[in-house]
Amino acid sequence: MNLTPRLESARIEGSFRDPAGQIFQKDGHIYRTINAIAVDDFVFVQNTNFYPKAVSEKRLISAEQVPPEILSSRKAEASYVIEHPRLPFVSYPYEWTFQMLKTAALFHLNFHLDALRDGITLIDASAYNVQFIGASPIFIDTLSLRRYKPGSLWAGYKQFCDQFLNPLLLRSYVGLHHNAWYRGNQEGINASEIRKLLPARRKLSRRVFTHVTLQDSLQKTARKGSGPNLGALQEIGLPLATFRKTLTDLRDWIMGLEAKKTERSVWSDYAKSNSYALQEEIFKHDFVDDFVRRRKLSQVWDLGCNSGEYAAVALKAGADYVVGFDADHGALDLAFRRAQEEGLRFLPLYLDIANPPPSQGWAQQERYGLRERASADGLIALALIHHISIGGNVPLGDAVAWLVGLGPRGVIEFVPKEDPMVQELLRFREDIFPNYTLENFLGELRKHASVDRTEPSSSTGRLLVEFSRKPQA
Amino acid sequence: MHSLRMHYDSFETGWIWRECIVKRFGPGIATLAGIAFLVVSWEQPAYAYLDPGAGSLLLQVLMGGLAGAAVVVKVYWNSLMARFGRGDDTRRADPGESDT
Repeated sequence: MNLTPRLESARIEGSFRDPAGQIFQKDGHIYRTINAIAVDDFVFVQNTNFYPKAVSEKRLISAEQVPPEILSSRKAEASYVIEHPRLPFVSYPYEWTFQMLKTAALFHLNFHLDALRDGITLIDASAYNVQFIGASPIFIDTLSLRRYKPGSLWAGYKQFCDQFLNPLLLRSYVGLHHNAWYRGNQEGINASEIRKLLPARRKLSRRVFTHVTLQDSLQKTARKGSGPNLGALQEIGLPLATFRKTLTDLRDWIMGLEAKKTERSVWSDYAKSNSYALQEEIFKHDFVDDFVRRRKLSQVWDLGCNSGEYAAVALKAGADYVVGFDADHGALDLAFRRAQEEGLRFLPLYLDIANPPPSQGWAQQERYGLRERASADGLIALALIHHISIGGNVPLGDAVAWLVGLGPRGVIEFVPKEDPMVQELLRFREDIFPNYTLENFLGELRKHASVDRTEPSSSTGRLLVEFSRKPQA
Repeated sequence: MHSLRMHYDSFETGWIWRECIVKRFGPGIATLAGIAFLVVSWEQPAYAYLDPGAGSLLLQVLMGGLAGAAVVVKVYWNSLMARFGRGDDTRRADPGESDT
């Protein structure tokens, strides 16, 4: 939740929809107001066994009550104010891989099932309420937890389908990544849309029929003729046993969903196929290790993180948290598995470096762009610059300026045109990049930063360059 | 239909009674779902401002038991009648909703 200075001590815009309370940021602290309408439920939930257990197991974000005066009188309607710890980095479902969205979906269902055991339900099913710390999901919206009234309907059912289930079906049954669509429509993919895409044989399954076809059909039919209103439906209600069965059935279904192979992953077997010599790789490890150690970096961003090899190096060298970015889903799957298996504080995310996520949503402040979330103390961009400049046709100067803007210091590996990897990029293209030279690269870098250390990193002429950004005017 | 009638009268006794009905008439729900399946193929696209949750709420009461199933069947029936220009479809006159 690192925001631009202009947003300091402001309401975090993603939280405006909930009348029960909002999130505010002040002096780097994160506060949540609890308004009068939510107080009874809030107190009820706090006094259950579930609440402290979920917090201690790090499934639910912790909260400490603070005096309401901490926030200005503008928020006087708040009955309580609680403070949450800051998350190392806020990510969005359109930056997650299939495996991450699946992990978050299963987490959400299990969390809800456990909550129900203690008489608590979730009033919504927003995927944005699940965040990752490393590979571990955590639920961040304390006010989603409400007292369960016997027989009440699952208010978040449609939202769960739109934001978790249908995007997973898109990959598993259709073979398309959810990311671009999800970023375009932040609410996910609705039943009507996924129904049009699913192959006919999938529609024969009971689960698809129920949760996609029938849900969509009822949605469309409901308003055509006269029919019941919300009150009437609530009166009929949903028995707890059926509610639980619906949640467990969705869980079993999602657990069995696998990512359909889309395209051959270029980078997932990168470690085997690239042109590095082992000695050069060890040297690069040492360079990154030294950079992180000497600069005492806390949060590191690894742009072009591949399977997270250098993220692991940075963590070993003392970094507290690494956010990795890559455009290759195969590599990201390996990276996420690495973070899971080794319990690393490493969060790998999908990023098309030539088209980073913008600030968007209501008033363009609901979800923050990559730059607005820039929170790195240092960044690593190894063998990346040629992808931006030659792969993405971005002028070298712009590419350098953008990278330097993401962190106060960093390591960039320059890959010269003679390198086989660049030659591969140019194989079917005219070479329209006369300015792509080491000399120009260093010249552009020196406009924004001081060059602290350079070392050749390969026999093909690659150069590791450590920089420190000049204080901005 | 007699049991349906009884079920409607049983709101006061709460949802435990309804669960008993579900146990006894579980297969009936499947039949009703089958009827719904047939109706699905007749539907037209909707253009109105939709209550975003209408479909999922209806689906839940359908899952929940016979009372819900009856409501769902009625919704489809009304929609079908509306198509043939009959039924008590007052919403059609709403200028806010376009029609094919």
